[in-house]
Amino acid sequence: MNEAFIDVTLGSYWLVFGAAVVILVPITAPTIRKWALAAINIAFLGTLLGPRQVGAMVAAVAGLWLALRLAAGRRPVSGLVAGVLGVATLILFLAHKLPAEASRLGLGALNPILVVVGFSFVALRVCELLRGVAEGRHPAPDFASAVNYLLPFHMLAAGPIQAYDDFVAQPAVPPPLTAIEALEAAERIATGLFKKFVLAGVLKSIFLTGFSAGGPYLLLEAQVFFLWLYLDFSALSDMAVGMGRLIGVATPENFNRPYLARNMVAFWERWHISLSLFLRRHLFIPVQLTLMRRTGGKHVLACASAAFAVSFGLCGLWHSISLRFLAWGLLHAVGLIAVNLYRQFLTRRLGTQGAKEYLNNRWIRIVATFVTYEFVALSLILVFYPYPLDELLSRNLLHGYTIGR
Amino acid sequence: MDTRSVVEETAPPPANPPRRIALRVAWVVIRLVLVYWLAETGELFFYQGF
Repeated sequence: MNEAFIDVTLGSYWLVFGAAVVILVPITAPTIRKWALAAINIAFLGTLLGPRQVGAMVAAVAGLWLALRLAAGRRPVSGLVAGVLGVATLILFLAHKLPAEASRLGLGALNPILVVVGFSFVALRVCELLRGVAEGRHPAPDFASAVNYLLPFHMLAAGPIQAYDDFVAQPAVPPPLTAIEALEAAERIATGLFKKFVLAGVLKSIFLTGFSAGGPYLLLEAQVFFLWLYLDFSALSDMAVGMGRLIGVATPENFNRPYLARNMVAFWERWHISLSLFLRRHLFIPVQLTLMRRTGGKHVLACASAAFAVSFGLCGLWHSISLRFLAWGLLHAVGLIAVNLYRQFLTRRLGTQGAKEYLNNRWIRIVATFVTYEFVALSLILVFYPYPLDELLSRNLLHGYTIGR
Repeated sequence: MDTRSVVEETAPPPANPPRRIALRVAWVVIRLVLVYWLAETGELFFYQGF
C-alpha cells in the first residue's frame, strides 16, 4: 500500500473541514456533538486510508478504550493495564520510527497507518490519557471521547499535543462564536497557509540546499533554515488553532515568538510549547522530584540538571532514533543546564538585585537573544547535515583553505 | 452640567469599525489567493509523517 499523507493542498481536506464546521456548529446536545465529531475524525482518516486501515485504527482505539474502561477505578489493575498499554504504544512507536526493523519483524503493514496519523504525536497523547486514568485523575473516557482525543483530524498532521487535562476541561458544547471571533479564526488559518506556502516557500526556494552547499554558506543556511523551520512548523499550528476555534475544539498554542527568547529555558517556553509542557509534566518534574527525594533535597541544581539531561535526551530520540538526535537533545540539555548555572553564578557574584539589574540591561538582553538564536540555529546542523559530521571542517568551515603543505 | 456631549466626544471609537473589518477580510482573501496560486499539490509540512 502506498503511504498517504494529510495534504492540505487537496480540496478533500477542506471539504472535511467545511463539513465539520457545518455539522458541529449547530449541534447543542453534548452527546450528539461528541459522536458527530468522532464520526468526522474517523471519516477524515477514511479519506486517506482504505477501509481496512481505518478499521484497524478504530479497533486499536476501541481496544485501548475497552481496557481502560474495564480497569478504571480498580487501582492496582488500572496501573497494570496502563503499563501494558504503554508498552504496546512504545512498540508501535518504535515500529513507526524504525520502519526497516519493523518490516523485518513482520510489522511493516502498520507503517503506512502510523505515518498518516503522525504516530509520534498520537503516542504522546496515549501517554497523557493512560497516566490521567491510571492515576485516577480522570475516569476512563467513553469511546467517542477516546477517538476525539487521540485522533483529532485537525491536530493529526503534527500536533499540537493537547494535554488530557485540557481536553477533559473543555466545555462539552463550546459557546457560539461571534462574527469577530470567527474572523480571527479564519485569520489564523490564512496566516498559517501564508506562512507555509508563501513565506517558507520563498525562503526555501532561494536559500535552502539541504545543507549540501559547500563552503561557509552552511553557516548562513543554518540561520535561514531555523527561520524556515519556524514558518513551516508554526504554520501548521496556526491552522490547527484556527480550525479548532471554528469547530469548537480547544487547541493549544504551540509557539510564542520564539526568536525573542533570551536563553534556552525561555526558548523552550516559546517553541513547540505543547511538547515542552509534555516533557515537563511527564519527564522533567517526575525525574527531578525522584532525585530530590533520594538526595534529601541537598543538590537542587544537580537534580535539575540530571532531569534536563533525561528529558531532552529522550526528546531528541522522540524526534528520531539516532545518535545525532540524541546528541542534539543532550546539547539542548547542556544549554538549559548552563542557564541555571549562569543564573546561580550571577546571583552569587552580584546579589539578587544586582543580577536582576544585569539581566534587565538592554544590551545584555540583545546579546543573550542573539546567542540563543545562534545556539539553536547551529544545533540544527548537527541533525540535518547530510554528510558525516567529520566532513564539516573540510567541506564547509575550512573550505578553500589548505591545512599543512 | 450636562456631560453627555463630553462623554460622546471622548468615547473611544468602536474596536472594530466596519472599514477595519473589511480590510481584515480583504487581507485574508489576498493571502488565500496567493496561497492558491503558489501552493503545489502534495507539498508537505516538515513535521508531517513524523
